[in-house]
Amino acid sequence: MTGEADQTISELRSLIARMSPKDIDAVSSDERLVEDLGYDSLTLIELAVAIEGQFALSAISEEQAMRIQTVGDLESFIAAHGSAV
Amino acid sequence: MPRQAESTAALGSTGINTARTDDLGGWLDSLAQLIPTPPEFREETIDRKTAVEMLRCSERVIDTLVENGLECSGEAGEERFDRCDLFNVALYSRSRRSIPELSALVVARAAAEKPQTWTERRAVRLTLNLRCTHPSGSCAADPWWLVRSPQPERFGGSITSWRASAPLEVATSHKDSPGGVTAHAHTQLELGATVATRGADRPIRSAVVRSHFWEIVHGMRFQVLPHALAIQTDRIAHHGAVDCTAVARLLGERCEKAGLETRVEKGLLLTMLGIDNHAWLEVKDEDRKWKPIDCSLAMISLGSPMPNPAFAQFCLGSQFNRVLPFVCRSQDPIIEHTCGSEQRAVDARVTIGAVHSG
Repeated sequence: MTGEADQTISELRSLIARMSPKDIDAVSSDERLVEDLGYDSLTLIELAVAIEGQFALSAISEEQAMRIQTVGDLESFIAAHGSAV
Repeated sequence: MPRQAESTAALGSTGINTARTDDLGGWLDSLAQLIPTPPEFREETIDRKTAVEMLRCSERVIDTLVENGLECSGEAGEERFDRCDLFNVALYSRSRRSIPELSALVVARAAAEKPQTWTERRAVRLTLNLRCTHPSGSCAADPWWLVRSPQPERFGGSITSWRASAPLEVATSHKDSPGGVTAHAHTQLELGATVATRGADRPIRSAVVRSHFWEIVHGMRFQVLPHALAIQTDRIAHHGAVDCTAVARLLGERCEKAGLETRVEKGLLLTMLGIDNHAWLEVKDEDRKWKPIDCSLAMISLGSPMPNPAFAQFCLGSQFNRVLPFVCRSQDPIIEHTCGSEQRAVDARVTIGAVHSG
């Protein structure tokens, strides 16, 4: 992984932790957004839009969002779709 | 198009508020533009705690709204609000956090996707979480629920049988009710199914219908309304605000005056923040085919941070694949609940998830 990719993942995890309904400081790839980090439909939508803005992504569709279960899924998604990686 | 300009501003330019701060200016602008629920239709039943949860705001926002004229009853600190007023203030608040704004944003985002995504086959896991709104927090005696029958096959879709948290019985259709499933669950009921929907692209031919559609979409403000008001078409025309039911009836009345047959249909909106009581109009067009017209979805798209005129045009005659039609008369709710021998409002949450194979 490049340094730039490491930076992107670090920024992503920081954003996920900051926007989580739970009071947490850090997240890891295998943590599940809903079951482990307390996200629900509302907060997932907020997270999706925030990620689009921060990582210069085009809109994440509902179909894509529904398939993202873990922090690692999001990392892979951004690696595949983001311009920053 | 002043109404659209207001709406676009109201939903914000970036769509979301990650800073989780309260922009009081946005709330006050929204309050100034609010068309309040008329006195004879007001039901001030929402307490402060529920209001804060619904608006996802601080107590300071509620204080500011009250100080600046948001109608309510009760002593300071113990106020009760009208649910529709709260929803509508939040919808145009630019807070980018409130439940009404995010619900509209989800619809607008789907409307902003490529046109082929509006009609393609779409399979989701649907969950309906239903909760009694009895003031005590739990059902009174003899709780009873009725959920009318979904009908995705009308537009080429399908649905599995309901899975439920309580035993279900089939309520057969008769002349006073189209039937559905019933349950005797206490306080809450959860239903789930796998649903496939498919949209259809069927533009309206009638110039009269097209003209009325655009006049209403551009001329009215979208707000939720009490059902008793939404069904009074003569009042709605002067009220200035419409919800999905009111706008379907208003357009239907105008189309019927032009000699066209119409009917109001109902269903669920299957998005990540689904809507449990969506309504739209169907018109028998000049080619003698029944076609859906969804003014409210067009208004939501046009009033969003990502307005899509092509989607608004699509709403004029075509079926959106996020809509799940139900067998339901226009005057009846899709979901009914009684306990203690009284009909109760239902707190219904519609959520969807991905269908997993295997």
